[in-house]
Amino acid sequence: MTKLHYLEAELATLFQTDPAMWRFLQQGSLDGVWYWDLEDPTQEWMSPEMWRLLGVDPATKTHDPAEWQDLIFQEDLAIALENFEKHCADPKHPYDQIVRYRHADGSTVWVRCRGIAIRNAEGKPIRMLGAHNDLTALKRAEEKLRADHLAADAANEELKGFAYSISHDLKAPSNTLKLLLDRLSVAIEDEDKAPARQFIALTQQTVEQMRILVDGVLNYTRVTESDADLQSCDLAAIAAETVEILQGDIEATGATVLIGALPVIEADAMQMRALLQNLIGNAIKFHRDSVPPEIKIAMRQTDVKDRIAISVQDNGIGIPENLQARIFGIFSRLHLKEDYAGSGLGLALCRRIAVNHGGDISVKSSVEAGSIFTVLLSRKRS
Amino acid sequence: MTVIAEEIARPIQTVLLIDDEQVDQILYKMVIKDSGLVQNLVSFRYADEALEFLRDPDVPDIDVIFLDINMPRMNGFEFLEAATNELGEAFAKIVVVMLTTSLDPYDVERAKKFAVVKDYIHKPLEKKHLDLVVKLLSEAT
Repeated sequence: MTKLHYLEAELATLFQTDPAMWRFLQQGSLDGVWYWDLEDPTQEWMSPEMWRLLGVDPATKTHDPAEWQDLIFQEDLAIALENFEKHCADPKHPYDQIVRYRHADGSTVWVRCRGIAIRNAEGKPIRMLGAHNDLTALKRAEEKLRADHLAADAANEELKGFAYSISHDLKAPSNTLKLLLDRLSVAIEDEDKAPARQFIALTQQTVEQMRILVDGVLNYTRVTESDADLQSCDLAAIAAETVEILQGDIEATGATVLIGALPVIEADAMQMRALLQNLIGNAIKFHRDSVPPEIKIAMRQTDVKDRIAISVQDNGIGIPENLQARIFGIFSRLHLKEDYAGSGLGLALCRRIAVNHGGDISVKSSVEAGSIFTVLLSRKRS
Repeated sequence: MTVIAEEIARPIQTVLLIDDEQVDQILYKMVIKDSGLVQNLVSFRYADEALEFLRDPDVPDIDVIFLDINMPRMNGFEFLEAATNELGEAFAKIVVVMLTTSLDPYDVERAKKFAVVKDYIHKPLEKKHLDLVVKLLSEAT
């Protein structure tokens, strides 16, 4: 027989003689202990630590096992009882499982619950000693990781969908160009000028559509692929700049743009510029025939602290109710390209920007009356 | 009788073309005309307008619909769903879905779920696709 190290022997004696040693180990390494009388199963001593973990005052408890059986998740209780039966029948089967309890505040507490049966001379279990370890922090981290993973998957899916749509929308005009050029060369061979001119005009139209698409995609990726760089942004100044940039369209349509009192918020300046440029640009573009656009940009407070709402209102053609839900989708368009040019990315970009700033975007609109786009934004970085 | 002679000569009576792109419309009309296989061509640039046309009880029998997918307002899949729900499977003898790319196999699967979709092609529409429709129509009768 190996001789015990003198310190191990000393520790064994210390445990038997000094209760403070046991308390130290129990409190330092465990989150609750229980000791169950299997000969009288209505009796189970539970340590105060076990109750405190569940947010319960130990003084209100009477060492009745029904008290914890009410708080444990019932499907987990079933697993624990099954392991208990098996462990009693065969000491080699471990009583060891992760179970969930309902904390007094309603949250979930994850506990690794281990136990060992104490048997009499005949091997019949007469007591059970159990120990709890709190795994809640670990489990929460695990759940967060899983949620992050899902979010990353969703972002990945969106990226895949985006890549698909871009290839789709670029391949279509390039196919068309090939066909047009084939026809054009036949027309030139035949010295057929009128069709040749038509094919050249169609080629130019197709190339222009490609340009608009590539511009849209570049804008979208430039804004969405860089992390938001939050700084102090004067939205009134950005709105004024935007109006300056859109001056050509404003003059061409006779638009008036009214900029109300806008706040200074913590935001990404480039994204705020893109947001206002798209919304004001749309308000000008989708005007009614011979009705000069009247555009109002305003701010209002919301019920949520530090969250503001910026609205861009127009008197344009409006959006039919049944089509409003789709306008923020990638490459979603409501009109023929020659009626209203565009890539179908502007409002998708606006939504991304709003989400990047802890908010969202919505629209209220009626046909032939106008639309009001409302962007929720956080005033401060979260 | 000229009309009958023409009907015999042209194996496809009525084509419905649904595509929002102006340039594609012009090109496909040329392909259809040049093929000499088609008697009548009706075309729409919005799918909801094509659906409105099909709702008319006096609408002629449609041999084939060439259907674009990516369209504003109502896309090709939404059109197929609405037409099947409202008018039953018989709103056309054949629907050929026109895809722009083979990148997304999901679009192909989605198109195949509709019994009326007898084929899908990759844009642009060509003479060989019309030959295929002639073959499908003769198999169907």
